Amino acid sequence: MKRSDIISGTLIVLVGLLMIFVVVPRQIKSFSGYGLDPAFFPLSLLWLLVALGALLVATRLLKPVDPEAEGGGLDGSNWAYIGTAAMYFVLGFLAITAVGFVIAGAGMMIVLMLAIEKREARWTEVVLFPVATAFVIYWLLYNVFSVQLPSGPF
Amino acid sequence: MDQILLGVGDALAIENVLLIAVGVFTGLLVGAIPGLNGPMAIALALPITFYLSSLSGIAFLIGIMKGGTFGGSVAAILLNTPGSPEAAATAMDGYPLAQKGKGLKAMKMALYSSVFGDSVSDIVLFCVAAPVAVISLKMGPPEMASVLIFALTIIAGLSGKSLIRGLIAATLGGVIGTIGLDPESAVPRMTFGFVQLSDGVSLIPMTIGLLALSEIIVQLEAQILGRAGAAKRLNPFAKEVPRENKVVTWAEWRACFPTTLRSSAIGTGIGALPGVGAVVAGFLGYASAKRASKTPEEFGTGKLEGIAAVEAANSAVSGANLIPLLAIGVPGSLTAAVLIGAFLVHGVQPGPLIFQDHPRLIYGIFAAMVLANIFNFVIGQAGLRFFAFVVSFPNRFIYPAVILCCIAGAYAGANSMFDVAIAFIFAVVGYFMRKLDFSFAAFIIGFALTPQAELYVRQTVILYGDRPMTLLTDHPIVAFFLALTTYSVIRIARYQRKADHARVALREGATSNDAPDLEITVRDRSEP
Repeated sequence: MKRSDIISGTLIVLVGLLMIFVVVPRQIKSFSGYGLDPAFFPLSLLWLLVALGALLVATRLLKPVDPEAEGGGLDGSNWAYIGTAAMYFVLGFLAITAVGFVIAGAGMMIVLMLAIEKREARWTEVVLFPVATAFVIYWLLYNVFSVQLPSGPF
Repeated sequence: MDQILLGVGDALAIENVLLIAVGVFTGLLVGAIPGLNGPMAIALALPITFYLSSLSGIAFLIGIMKGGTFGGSVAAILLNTPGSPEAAATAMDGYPLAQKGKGLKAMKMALYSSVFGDSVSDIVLFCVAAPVAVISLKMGPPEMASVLIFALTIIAGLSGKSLIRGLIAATLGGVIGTIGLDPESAVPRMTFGFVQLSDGVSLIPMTIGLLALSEIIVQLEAQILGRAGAAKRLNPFAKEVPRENKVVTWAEWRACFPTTLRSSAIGTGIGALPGVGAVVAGFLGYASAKRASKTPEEFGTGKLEGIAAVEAANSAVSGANLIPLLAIGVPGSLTAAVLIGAFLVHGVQPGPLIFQDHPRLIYGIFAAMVLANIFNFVIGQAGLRFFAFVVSFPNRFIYPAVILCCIAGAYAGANSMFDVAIAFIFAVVGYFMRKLDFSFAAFIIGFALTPQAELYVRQTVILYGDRPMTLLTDHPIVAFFLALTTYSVIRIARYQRKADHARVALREGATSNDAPDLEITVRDRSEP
């Protein structure tokens, strides 16, 4: 974890500083009433975050090496995987907004089932189960909890 | 007395009894499936509580919590893969027993000791929560602020493997918790122009993303990249298994009883401390049973006592866990933090005033906990064959269906795709937190406690801004908790440094007398 800790600590410091000097001044207006300024708490926590991020980097640079723990963290395949997963969510979000929960949800499930099963997937299972599941969830939420999931243009 | 009877009467309403039973069944089912766990199921079920009364909703979630703890042990015993993190130590003796054809006996012992530990813990909760709440009612904003700072530090320090990472997770949760309108001036803070963020980031989609979706992403990664270990399920119900291997005899239960009792006390003590959690309780219960045993060498080879020790300890955490939540408004664990959402949905603020403002609800919840224990025993006993079957239900069906449930659950909270987007964002955040070992418990509790802590600090500044020194001289509790916070940080940091050195020394072949125990408690500390 040593390398990952150094990277994550550095990232935390950078994000914290970005928030302190760019985001907070633009996103929180100062208020001259009584008590503390609205930005006081977020800024205090962000400075604490920056300090802790720096401390994480510093301690990992000075700490004794634990060979077993070195195996943790993220490698190239993890980054590729989470990038794909994020893309999957973005596309899923757009699809639900565009065509509704049942069709998009079934589509999202089919993609996952194919990814898990690869070549051994049975087409009847891969199509019927997602469609039935998406429909049952939609029906249950609509009829039992009066929640209308996005229905798209249909 | 009237309020107690009214509360018990509410809990015994047929609708609530059924919901508790369904909750326990759901918890057992979800706990039994490797990769799914109790907190995840509670996060997913949270939106449903919108449509139920406050007692029904909370009782349903408590049912899931109690069922989920035992459910995890089924997979641990039959697959050597814990269904939930707290069952990790159950596998040490459970799986060897299953290999010897005593899987059913092991599952029954796990069930009995789990229900026993849970019941002991609940009794302590009933006796202790109200008196502690009375004490905390006498505290003003400065005292409460110092208690929250202390609790957050302890949670951050003890809920992960590293104090600094825990503190970072809690602080990050705190930063997210400040998003929304400023509590005094109503000035928007970091809302980026989204009206939906005026009330802050919603807890429900956030927990669904962090606890459920991110877990599924991690499980799918192992599956898709071919890193998942193949587990062979053992069949404890096979006809050739003799009857004595399928039951726990009275003599066996009596022999394990001292261990069960000791572990229940350990679990209850651990549960009452914010942030430590069921995983540590399980390992501590196991280590203490081994230390007290006349035949410690038999532990790990399939000893019923080992299962009783772990299950009683990790289940005893669940009731005691609610002591800090109900008495001072501080969630002691991940599950308790998610339960806050259920309270807030119904306009109930957990904390000392709950006993004064909602006594009927509280006693209803206590009665529901007793009912949940009874259902846990009955459903667990009757459904062992079914739960043993579902542990090997194909993941290709479970994971995609859970993802769809997450999307529906995130949407249902506010009928908004914005919340689905929040769940997706926190799913990715949760993936990194899991991979880089940042504590979820610290993050969510930091998020949940920050608005409260901020309010207390602001009130303190208004009250004592012009005479800050009197804060310490006139309020000894503030000085005490601030000193305790500093002391705790130093102690935890020193302990972790010692543990790191011990680990390195162990790997280099240099062993010391206390190193193995240290190894167990430190290495396996995970989410509460």
